[in-house]
Amino acid sequence: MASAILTARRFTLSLTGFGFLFIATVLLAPLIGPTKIDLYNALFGSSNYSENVDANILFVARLPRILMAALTGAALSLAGAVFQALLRNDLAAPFTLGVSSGASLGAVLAISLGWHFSIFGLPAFSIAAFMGALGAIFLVFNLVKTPHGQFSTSLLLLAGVTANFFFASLVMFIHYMSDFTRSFQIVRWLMGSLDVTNMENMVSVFPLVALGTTVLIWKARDLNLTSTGVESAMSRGVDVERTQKIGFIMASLITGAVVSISGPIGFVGLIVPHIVRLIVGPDLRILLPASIFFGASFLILCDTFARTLMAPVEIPVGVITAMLGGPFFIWLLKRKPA
Amino acid sequence: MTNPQPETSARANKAPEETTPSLLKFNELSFSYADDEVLRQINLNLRAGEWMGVIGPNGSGKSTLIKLMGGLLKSSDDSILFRAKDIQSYSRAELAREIAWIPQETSTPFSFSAYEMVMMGRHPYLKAFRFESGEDHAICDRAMEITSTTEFKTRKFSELSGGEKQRILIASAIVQSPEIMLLDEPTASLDLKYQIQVLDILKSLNRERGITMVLAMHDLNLAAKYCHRLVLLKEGRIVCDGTPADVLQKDIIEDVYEVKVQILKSPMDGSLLIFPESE
Repeated sequence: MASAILTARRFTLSLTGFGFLFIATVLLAPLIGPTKIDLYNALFGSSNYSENVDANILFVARLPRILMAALTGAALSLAGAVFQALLRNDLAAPFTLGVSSGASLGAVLAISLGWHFSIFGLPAFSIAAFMGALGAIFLVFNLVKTPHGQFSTSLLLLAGVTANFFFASLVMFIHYMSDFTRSFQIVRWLMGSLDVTNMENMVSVFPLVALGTTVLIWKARDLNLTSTGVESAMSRGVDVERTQKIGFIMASLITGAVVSISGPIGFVGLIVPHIVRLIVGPDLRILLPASIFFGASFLILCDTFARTLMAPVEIPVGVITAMLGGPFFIWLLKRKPA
Repeated sequence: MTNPQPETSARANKAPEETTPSLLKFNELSFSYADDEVLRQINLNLRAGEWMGVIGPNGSGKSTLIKLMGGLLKSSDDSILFRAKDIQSYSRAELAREIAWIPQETSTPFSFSAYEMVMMGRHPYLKAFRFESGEDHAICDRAMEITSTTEFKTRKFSELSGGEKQRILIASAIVQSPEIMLLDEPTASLDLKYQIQVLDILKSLNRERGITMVLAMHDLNLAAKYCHRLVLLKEGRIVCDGTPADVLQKDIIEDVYEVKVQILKSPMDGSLLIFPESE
């Protein structure tokens, strides 16, 4: 099925499937947790949350967190699929390229400097995270790019690892220089968890993610062609330089946006596009929207594990994704010919 | 920046056999990668329907010349004219509907099928957010018939053999419905059977559809057999430009390739055969 060409029918079918999975996850995940809730009471009981414990748990404790997981998972997966196409390498992802840690550096810097202002409703640390993500991909791309657009896997991974180390050391430095309160805020944020989030921040970054997503899906076919080679794409009518610029900026934008509110959660952007590609094939016109739904469902599931596995202790969701992602990455690396 | 008038009148003054419309014209083109000058003072006029072979030793600038013809490298203003207009003044999509370029090899880390790769040639005709129409599918099916690739339509491109990949790339160029096809050593990695198969496909495209062919070639015997016109490059300069009989002369070839050769005529079709001598 993955080898057939994309038609409107196949597009609709695949997307409906992934859409159902997403809706099912969003509806079922809030019901799972260490505390049993009475669904009937939560939905139809008293609308005063201080009296109605079930509704409080469902709508205040669990649902925002699940929506947060959905947004983060969707954005990181989409960014991963785009980075993989632009760099022509299926090991590229926001985390492995150092883009997530660039975003972390931006956010941590903003926290440590106590920036509380916002521009057009966007909190300063989200803007700083986007700048950090953009800086990281700019650095990595310029390290690996060649005139003919061939990128070596080993160089790409090394550049990503180096960027990761570099940004991590700067984060540590900032952390070390910060006072006790700021230091605590930084640690909480760096854990890569979804529990410290609040709805307000999520709502403020949502338009950024929506904008990036729309632009990237609009450019999906140009990205397809770019993934078969820079000069090949040019000769078939793609303005490759423009596609690369738009692709990197938009993928960094959505990475920075979600990293700024949920912390660096690794490997989602690596794992999800792979699994989805196995099901729908490599055409980004379906791979991108399908990755959004699957990525959202995937991180909701990981977070559900994180909440329940050692309840009442909650494991940061980044730990779960890293435990899945590490072995997955090694498996991919072993499979590569050279 | 572009001024077609003098160009047209200049062409009118030329010899009668050169009155076929000029598609691509190089005016004193020089090209460098960083500080390395790869092509020097190239003057060339490619006319519609021609089959031009670009030959020369390794590093003589064949691939660069081919890429410049496709507008894939940045050339200085008005040094390359396509249909009497600076090639840089066309958009990527405009050029892609006129000129197809086939690299020596194409690779993708993703599992696109052969058919999907062919369909990518329709890109300059498609709008964003649209799926390919029935007509696009018919065009691709037809191109796969011409290149005898229909049987592996659904196989993964990355798992095909060199000859199969090359034919898929030709099919993908056909669906661009170009005026010119540029091929960078299309037979370099193929065995004898596929070399002939690929060149025969190109020959019929040249004859039946009138597509202008420009091929960078290593094999002088195949170049002599298939090309109507040869351009011989040495260290970025055109040494000789003419019919195979003009270019493939003992002293010229010995000078450019720095090897002793014997030149014979094929008993079959009269094309020239070049035999290198060992030292």
